[in-house]
Amino acid sequence: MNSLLTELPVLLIVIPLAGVPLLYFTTRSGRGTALPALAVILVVVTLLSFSIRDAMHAPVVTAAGGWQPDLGIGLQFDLLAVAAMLVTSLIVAQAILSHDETSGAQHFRTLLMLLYAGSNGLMLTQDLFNAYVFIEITSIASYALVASRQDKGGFESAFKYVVMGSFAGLLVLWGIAGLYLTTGTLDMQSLAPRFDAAQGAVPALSAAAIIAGLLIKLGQVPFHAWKADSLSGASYTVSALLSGVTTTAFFVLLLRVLSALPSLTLSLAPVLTTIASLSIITGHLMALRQPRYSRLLAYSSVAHIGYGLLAVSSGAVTAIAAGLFHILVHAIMKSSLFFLGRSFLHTGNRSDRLEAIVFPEQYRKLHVTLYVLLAMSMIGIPPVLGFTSKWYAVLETARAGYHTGAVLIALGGAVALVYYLRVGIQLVHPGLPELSSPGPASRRLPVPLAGTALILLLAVFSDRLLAFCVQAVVQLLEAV
Amino acid sequence: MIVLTIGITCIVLTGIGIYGLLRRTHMIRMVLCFNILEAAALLGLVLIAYRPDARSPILRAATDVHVLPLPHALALTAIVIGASLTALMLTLIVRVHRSHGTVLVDKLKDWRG
Repeated sequence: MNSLLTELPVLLIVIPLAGVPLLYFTTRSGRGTALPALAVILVVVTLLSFSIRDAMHAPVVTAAGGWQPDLGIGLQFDLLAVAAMLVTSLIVAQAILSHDETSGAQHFRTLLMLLYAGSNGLMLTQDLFNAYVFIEITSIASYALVASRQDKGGFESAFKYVVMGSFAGLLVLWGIAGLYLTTGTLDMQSLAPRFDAAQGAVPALSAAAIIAGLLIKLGQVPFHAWKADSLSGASYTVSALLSGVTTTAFFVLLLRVLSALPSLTLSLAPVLTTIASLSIITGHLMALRQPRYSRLLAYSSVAHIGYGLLAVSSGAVTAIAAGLFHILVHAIMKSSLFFLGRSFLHTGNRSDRLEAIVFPEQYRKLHVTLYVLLAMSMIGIPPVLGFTSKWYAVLETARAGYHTGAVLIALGGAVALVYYLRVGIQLVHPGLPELSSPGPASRRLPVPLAGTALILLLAVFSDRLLAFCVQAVVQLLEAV
Repeated sequence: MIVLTIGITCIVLTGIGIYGLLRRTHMIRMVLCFNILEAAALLGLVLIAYRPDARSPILRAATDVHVLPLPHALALTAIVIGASLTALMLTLIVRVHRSHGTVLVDKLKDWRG
């Protein structure tokens, strides 16, 4: 078991990566089953749950290939990775179940598995250049997934996404090159002392370029518009993946980079706070005037990632933990809302304009209940998990001395209430008569049932979950 | 001297790339600008590795001075990533051209969001 534990971080990347060719060949002949993909996720989750206890004790650090981190690549399996990977595994599993085989999207599961492998690597790696490689693996998989809807809007959105994403990727590459030039290391754990000892503006500018690249990937102001464009062009399942899995992975990497450079984070705090505040304001106000369901959710994501960033930029351990907690909860609830959107298609209606969306006849009450619970969670109404995570974010941000930020987060909920209510009223009382030729009727239960149930159940344990996040952040900060 | 020349080339290429990416509306030209930006980044990596009068990093005699091998390895990886990205972008352009009949981004309906 002990030798398995030391190889665990490698296995968590290699197993999904090995699943990529496996899924490619099993689904090439047309229809494949969802079982192989689900099996891969099950193996990963089992490995994760068996090793939580060890990770609680101390982070498991593996030197890939036996080369110690300063020369080779270090992979770190800590509580931060456990928490984030459990959330992303849930979302990926839901996406596999949600995928419609008749949609014409080729190799959906193969690309999904590549995205999963890349995001796992992103959350485990300690090496900056290795992180760049995983950023690109995750991104290339997600560009292809956006295009997998195989229609006009999909290709257009994918191209827009690829241009913005590659520019962000190049910024990260520039930053990594600059940091290596001035510090001589790519290992995040040994970066801090050498960074502080380095002279001139190059190290700070390089680190800022990496952070800026990650903020573009997260869709923060002023680079927020691409997010709505890409999410609205992609299918609902892919949008759920992008707003759940990739966002979480990039946020975890951002946390790792920020904690690796404590002195820079301290001096960048006002900038990060400003970006986060502007993202909250812009995200909510833009969401208010969106005519389409997916664009509305995309702009709401901009605001919610802003909450997380705001809490993190305050620098206090509990505030960072509250920010992380909110980002993880947001990943579950936002992806569930996107998965819920898939049910609109079962009415035969391809448009997601707010005045046209309607749930199918079958399970309509269940769908509406799920929407209400998820919207309550997004807005921050008790008793669901979204309320507690937001409450902690407000409380801890205020405790860290960021009173304006705390007020902004609280006010955001009020604005969100308006737009989620607008959608809710439409869903309860659809204005349009149902189409005469409904789409393929679904006998399956709605997919986001799992995510919504979690949001309800876990609300009971939210103080323990926050304590877990605090422990994860303490581990992260102690490691440096 | 060589450091200065490559450094300036690198900065000029970055400028051209960013300018083009912002100003051009032809999709293929946007891809070319992305490639120019990437070439600048690669040149930067090679420049970081450079040491005067150094040999390529293959160990022959213990007294040899070598250029840094790591940035070369990074550049190699970045070239592979860049090539895959370019291929993906070009594929998307072919698909956009088939469905929209144009490769000019300002002619696309939703481009401005």
